[in-house]
Amino acid sequence: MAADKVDPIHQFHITKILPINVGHYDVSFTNSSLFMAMTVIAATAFLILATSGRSMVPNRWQLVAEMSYSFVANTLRDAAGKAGMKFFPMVFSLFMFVLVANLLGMIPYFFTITSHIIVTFCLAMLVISTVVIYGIWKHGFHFFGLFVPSGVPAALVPLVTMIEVISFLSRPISLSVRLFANMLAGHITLKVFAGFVVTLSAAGVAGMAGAVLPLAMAVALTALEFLVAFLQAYVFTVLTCMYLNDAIHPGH
Amino acid sequence: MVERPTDASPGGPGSSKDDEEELARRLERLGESLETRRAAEEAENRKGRSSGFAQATKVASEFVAGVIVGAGIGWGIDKAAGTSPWALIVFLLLGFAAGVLNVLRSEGVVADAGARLREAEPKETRRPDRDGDRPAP
Amino acid sequence: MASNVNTTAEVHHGGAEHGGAFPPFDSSTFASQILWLAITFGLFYVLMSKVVLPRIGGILEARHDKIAKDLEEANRLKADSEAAGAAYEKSLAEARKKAQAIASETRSVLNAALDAKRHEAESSLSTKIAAAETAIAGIKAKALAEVDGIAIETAETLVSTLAGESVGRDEVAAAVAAVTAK
Repeated sequence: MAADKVDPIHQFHITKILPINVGHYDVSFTNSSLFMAMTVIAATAFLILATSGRSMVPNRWQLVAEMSYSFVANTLRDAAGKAGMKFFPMVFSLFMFVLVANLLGMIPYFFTITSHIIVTFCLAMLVISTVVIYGIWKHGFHFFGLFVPSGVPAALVPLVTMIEVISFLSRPISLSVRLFANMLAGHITLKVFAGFVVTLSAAGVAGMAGAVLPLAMAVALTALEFLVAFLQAYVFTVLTCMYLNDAIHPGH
Repeated sequence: MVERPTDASPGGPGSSKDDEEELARRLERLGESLETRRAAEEAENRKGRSSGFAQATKVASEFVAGVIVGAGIGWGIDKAAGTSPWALIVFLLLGFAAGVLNVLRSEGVVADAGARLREAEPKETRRPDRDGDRPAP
Repeated sequence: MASNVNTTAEVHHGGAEHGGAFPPFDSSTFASQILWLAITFGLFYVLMSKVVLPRIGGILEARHDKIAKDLEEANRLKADSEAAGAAYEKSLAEARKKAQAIASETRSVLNAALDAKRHEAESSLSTKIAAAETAIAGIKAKALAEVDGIAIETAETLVSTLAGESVGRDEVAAAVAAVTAK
């Protein structure tokens, strides 16, 4: 068990709980799937239970639920205007899903689904596909005006357009890499410091004295990671809103 | 004969004077709190949000994402057209440029493609800054 | 001991987890993760958009309406009380004006009555004084006339008593008149 604690990568391993195979694909129910389900259950249960009172003067939990609602609504309205509010359920779901997944991951021995690039990439792709599909559906060919800059010499237009397209395509990657890298790096760092504490305190009195510093670091990092867990969910939401804004108002 | 209620003897009409003052004070307080509420409501409507966090992961992910996409497109074209390694080289360079553009954009040095195109139309929305990322440790 | 456990753990992972690849980049788990993410997130989206968001939105809406209504009510009541205060002030001022008018009117009426009474008293007094003066003048004249008569009679009596002879009344009267004329 001590070895598990010291190995900072172990926490990201995916273990099968219920092996399922569909054709060539291994779609087993894994610990990752379990925590996805737990994220959904935890977030939904919290939001429903917190608002069960439906009181005029909210209690603490209802206030948290209401605050997350108005927070996402304000962010979306600020970034994408009134027209963006039709995406509110999607943006809110993304925010709550990422936030609750990040926070659940902070609990010791829990799996952090957002520390896997494929999960964050899928969420980012969901956003970008929404932007592209809605943009083309709403504005047709006009939507591609997003990639053609104005005020650039004609000779450079193809080059700049190419760069703009790559820049646009890099959005889901940067969006997912950022969330993934933050969660991964945070959890590895935490694990490493926690490992120091365990290893040093196992080495007697002097070791315990020496473990104080890494312990303090681990505590500080935990606090920081909670902040990061929220902040990354927020950044993900803000960027989602801004990309949606491009789909709603792609210019003339 | 001309008896003003304000300078009459204390006791009877005197207490009505106190009542009057008290009422005036309460009215004033009510007016103030109503005003504060309205101001707060208005402030809430156009509240700006700016986070003071600027971080390396943001810049890194923006840049790396550009390069990755460029390399991916180049690799794909090479694979499809058998032009290896020329498309990879060209698109890696373009990806590099896009990465730099991403970074400049996320730092607000260069206007967003959308924002630049939208300049002509009146902006009804305010774009929040993109500075929110990992806090400075 | 610890290193022993460590190696066995690594061996275990190496066996079960596809050659110990860095788990987040282990593509053999991607299919499962994508599928389950789609299922769970889809479910989450449906739950949010059909149940949770209408619920919270309804609560917020209701509160917003209530607050707006209460604020309006408070504003209205404030305006009402201000109007009532103004009406009170106005009626107070009116009452003062009225009271002043009544007072001055009363004062002038009383003054007039007083003046009339004084005039009456003065005039009756002066008539009385005039009557008294005439009466006094009459009495005085009468008395003066009687003084002559008495003087004549006294002189006549004195003369008759002292001289023993009767003197003619006319003579006496002439003599008295001569004396009093001096």
